[in-house]
Amino acid sequence: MWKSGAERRTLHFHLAGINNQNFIMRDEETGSWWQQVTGCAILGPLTGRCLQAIPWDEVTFAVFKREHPRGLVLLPDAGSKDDYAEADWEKNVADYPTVTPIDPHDTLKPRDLVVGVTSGANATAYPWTTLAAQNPILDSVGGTPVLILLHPDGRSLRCFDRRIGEDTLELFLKTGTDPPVIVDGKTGSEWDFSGLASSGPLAGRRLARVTCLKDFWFDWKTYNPGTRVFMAGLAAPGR
Amino acid sequence: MRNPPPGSWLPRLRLSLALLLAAATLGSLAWVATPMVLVRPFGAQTPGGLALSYAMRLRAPRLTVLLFILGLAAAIPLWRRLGSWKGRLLAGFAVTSLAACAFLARSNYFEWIFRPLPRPGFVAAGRAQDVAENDLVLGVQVGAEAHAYPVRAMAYHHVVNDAIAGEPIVATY
Repeated sequence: MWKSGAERRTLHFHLAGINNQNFIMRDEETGSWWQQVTGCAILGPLTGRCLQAIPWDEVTFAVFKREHPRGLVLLPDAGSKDDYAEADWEKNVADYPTVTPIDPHDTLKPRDLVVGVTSGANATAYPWTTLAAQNPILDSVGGTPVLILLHPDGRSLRCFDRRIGEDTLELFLKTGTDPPVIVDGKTGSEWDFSGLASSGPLAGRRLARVTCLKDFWFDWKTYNPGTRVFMAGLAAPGR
Repeated sequence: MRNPPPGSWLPRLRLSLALLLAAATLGSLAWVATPMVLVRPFGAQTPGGLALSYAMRLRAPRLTVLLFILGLAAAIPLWRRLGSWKGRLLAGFAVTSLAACAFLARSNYFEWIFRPLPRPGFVAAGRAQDVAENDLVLGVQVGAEAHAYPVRAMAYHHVVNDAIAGEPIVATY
């Protein structure tokens, strides 16, 4: 998800190819080729330029509606609607072949889902199954204390920076809450899924979002070759 | 013309025209097919292969038209000198291929497979008919405005050019 302004003009993008199963887009204005996952131009006049990322997340429609009752939803294209993915499309994609090299030391399979977080030059992949079992995950990526949070719907995902001022919070999910309630161990304040403290001493404060990407392991690893893989129960120490 | 006397220049001219037409056709086909093969789904891509594909796609619109004109220029005089229907069929096929290459070079065939959404339409979240509560959406907020892009639609279109609160954005999946 990117701002499409670059070089004082608005670029208009088209699907233009594929690079090891991550798509390439071409802008109408300069004809440059851009890599979807990085937002950076890889060929053409704008090579090396990167689009500015805008915060986004992948949540269920129910969560979106609750948080943005006046929000707008993209309408399906009448001519293409029949070609849209089935409701259970994720199951089918899991069986598609991959083309990038497979490291025999990998504990993850190419199409295992991970949640990827980067901070500076550091990257961490959180296996989806680990997150589902341990939710939420408290960790640190490149010195940034992060919270990886899965909604009780099992699909909506958000990542946050755990720092409020000078403090780094230890956050827990209140069991059996839906919508989820997150509690910080230090002050007992309660936080909602959008990262806003709704009660307690920190009421009104907001956790900063950290961009995280639900991705296939092979794709995450291709674009973050130095990534660490989070192991269950082995969180990096919080500060 | 069918049985020219030995030593005549006619068969040699006919051969030259035929070779020219064949070379233009094969060249055009190779030029258009190479990036198609290199940048194919479920194939492995290399930076060198991508750079070559980009360079070929960039030059393809002009080159394929030049080759089409060249092929046509050879095919017209050749046609009159071809006696057999087999020969004319081949020449016709070559010219059609050259035209097809010129057309392909000007087309974004990826958008034939995944049609684009040039004018995305939106509906208020409360009135949406086509999205289930449990369907995943990509949610974006700019200022006071929020847009949701259902993943099932995005997994098809892949790219949607949009604007939220006046800010031009590109939603990708």
